[in-house]
Amino acid sequence: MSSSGKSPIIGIDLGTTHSLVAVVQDGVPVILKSREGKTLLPSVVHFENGQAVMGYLAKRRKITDASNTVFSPKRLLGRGFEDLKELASRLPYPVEPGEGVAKIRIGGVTTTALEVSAMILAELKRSAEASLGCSVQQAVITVPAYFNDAQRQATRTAGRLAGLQVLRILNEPTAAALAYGLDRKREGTIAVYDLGGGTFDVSILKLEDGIFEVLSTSGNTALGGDDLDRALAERFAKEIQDQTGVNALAGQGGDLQFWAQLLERAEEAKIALSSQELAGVTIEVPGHGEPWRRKVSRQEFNDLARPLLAPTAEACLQALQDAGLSPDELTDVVLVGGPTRLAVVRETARSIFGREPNASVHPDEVVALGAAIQADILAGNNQDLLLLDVVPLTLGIETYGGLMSPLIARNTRVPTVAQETFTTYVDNQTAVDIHVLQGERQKVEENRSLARFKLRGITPLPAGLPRVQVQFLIDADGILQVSARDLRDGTEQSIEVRPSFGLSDAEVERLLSDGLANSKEDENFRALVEARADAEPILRACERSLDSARRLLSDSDLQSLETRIAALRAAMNGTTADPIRQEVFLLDQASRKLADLLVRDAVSTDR
Amino acid sequence: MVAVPASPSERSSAHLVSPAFCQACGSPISGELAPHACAQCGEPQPVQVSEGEDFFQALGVARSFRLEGPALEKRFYFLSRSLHPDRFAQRGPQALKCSIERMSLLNRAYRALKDPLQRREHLLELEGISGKKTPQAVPLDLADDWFELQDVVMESPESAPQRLQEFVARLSQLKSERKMRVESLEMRWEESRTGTQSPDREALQLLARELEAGATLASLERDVARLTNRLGVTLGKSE
Repeated sequence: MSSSGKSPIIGIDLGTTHSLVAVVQDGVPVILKSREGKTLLPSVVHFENGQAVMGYLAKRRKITDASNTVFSPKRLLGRGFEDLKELASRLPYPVEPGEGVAKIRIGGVTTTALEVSAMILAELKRSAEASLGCSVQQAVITVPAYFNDAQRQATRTAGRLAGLQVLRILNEPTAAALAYGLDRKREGTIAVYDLGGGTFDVSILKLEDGIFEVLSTSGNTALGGDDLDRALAERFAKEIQDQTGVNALAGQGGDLQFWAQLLERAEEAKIALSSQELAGVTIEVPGHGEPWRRKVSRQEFNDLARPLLAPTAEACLQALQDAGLSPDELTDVVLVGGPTRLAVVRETARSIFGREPNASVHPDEVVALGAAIQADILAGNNQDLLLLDVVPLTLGIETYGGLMSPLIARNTRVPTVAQETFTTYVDNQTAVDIHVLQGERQKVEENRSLARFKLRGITPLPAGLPRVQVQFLIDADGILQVSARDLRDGTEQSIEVRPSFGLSDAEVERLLSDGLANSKEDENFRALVEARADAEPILRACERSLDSARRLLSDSDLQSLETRIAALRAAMNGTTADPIRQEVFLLDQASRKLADLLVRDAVSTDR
Repeated sequence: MVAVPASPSERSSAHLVSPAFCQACGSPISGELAPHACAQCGEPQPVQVSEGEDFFQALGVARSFRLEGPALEKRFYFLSRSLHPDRFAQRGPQALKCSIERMSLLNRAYRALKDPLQRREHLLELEGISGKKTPQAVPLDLADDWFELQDVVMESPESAPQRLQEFVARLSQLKSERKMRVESLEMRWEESRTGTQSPDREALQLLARELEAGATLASLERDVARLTNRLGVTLGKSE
């Protein structure tokens, strides 16, 4: 990459709960650290006075300031409000209907899941630029294989808003297979069981001589590790309500802040149970002195999780059937995604495929590594490898009687083209409406509406005489492009596209110009928020020990400590980071003596 | 199985209708990648409308009922390696557009030829044999048995499983007989092409009829499966 002098192309795993960025260096894919020095960037954005805060800092705010913190934006991406109602009712941040897309009203701003995703992508871009020491313009971004057209479009638009040219929207299980296959030089037929934070995918691939051919894919875009957290949190909430009368159930008028904390505790317990048999949960209940305590056994958690994981079996069996394979014909079953660390998930995969799944890949990193490899292929650096991917859902159009007429079957290799000829129903009709759908059901309303097209400028003729051929192209990103031609004279026909979900081009343009103007301001603001966050613990610690200080310190030492505390407070109310950093340093100095005395005091009372 | 790939000479002489020169460098289009891309500079060439009609030609394999799966796959992989849009991400919009068109065509062709049934239909269509008559609901030689079976199910359900079993056996026998006829007709046509006389069109017409019969058997099989489900009978797997 650097040897050719070209700007590198990065691979991004834009995950539900965490996101990562990777790049191929000297032929090897590596994860690039975030600006916080971590491999994972939480997919969380906190809004403070209309300004965005990223990273683990934002994740901590998810608990302390839930209503101003957007997490798991991927769950909302490319979906309309109607579609999200149920999910939205359980989120601690408010989601409202908007034009085309659902709006998030938060921290004094109105935003969308797409814009929040763009902020995360921009943060990853900055991280990559910081660690590579050069500017980055191009990226491969992964999406769940089962993402529909609208969700893919939204991801691509988010990339564009983040200042990235998105060279490829890549399916996550395919990316994982690429990293797995390359690492192990494996050949054969594999299944990738990919359970992420909010989505489930299964893909069956054939690996042969550097070709990664996807035979079939299936999944569920509304099922993930998040759901296990939520089920556990709901159980806690019900028990707490029974015992204390405090309502924490989101969507039922519960305390959203408390609900966010319950979710966090549930997640911690889940993670603990991947390595322990028993996890303890302790949580402060608002208005109650005693914290609520409970133990969760792995057994209890597994029993809760099993029915939630059952839909993954259906998807796997569907994928096997579409590939024309039985489980014993597979060479390997590869587990991908954080939740596959859980024993209950492994057990589920084992029972579906009737074999021990392979858990040797790093479940969090493998998708980003695969995206980096695909980026390297697109850069022209790797001619040995090639991905042949498929479209996950059937594409069709609405026909007479409210039925969907399929044009491109699911699991068709991409890119692919289908053509359909349209005519008029009444004399002198000059326009035809076309409704494009995606899904596996017969009835229009049971499938996802992708877009409505209007064919205009048809020559006025008796009904049935005009012949307009419409071409539906699904490109290598799995995204639909439509063009039309009048078959009588061969002219290109104008098409007006109205996506059923998503932002209009004008909105995207506006966001793009806003984004450029704001980037410097964002930088300064980030520094401020970080400085405040760093100052908080030391300030709290000092204030807490003031009582002891009055006992232990001399008057003059006590006074200087109080002065420094007041000065730091003042600095934290300012708008720049530097004075805060300086006051933190001074307070640290001023409190040294107290700290020493406190330690000595503690030791002596112990005796 | 009979061998598949056409020799390069057969490919280029028999089917080439594309422009003979590369749109990018002007070299004559020939060799292993013709008509898809230029052997000199690798540039994918625009797809001519007529190219989409013959999938055998698109993949550069002989027009035959009997393609070997692995050889077909190898050919598809070979072409994909050179023509997939991933190879042209940085090569400008014209090359990318052509590669998308080329790969769409190859994907469509491979999907059709990989499946023996679709391959058969495509070949018959190319040879100008249309078998587009509406298939019968029930094949004649099974019609009586089928209606009788329905009656038994209605009137004396206790003996239905036994009768169903017999019917399924009969159905699967008809299927295998038909399969043998299809294979021998395919052979007949393939062999007629190697000789000096004109190809055996009668064999193709008979094949088209067998295809219709096959569709009828398949739909009857679905009806039987539904009936089996309804009766809750477990049968030995037919076939």
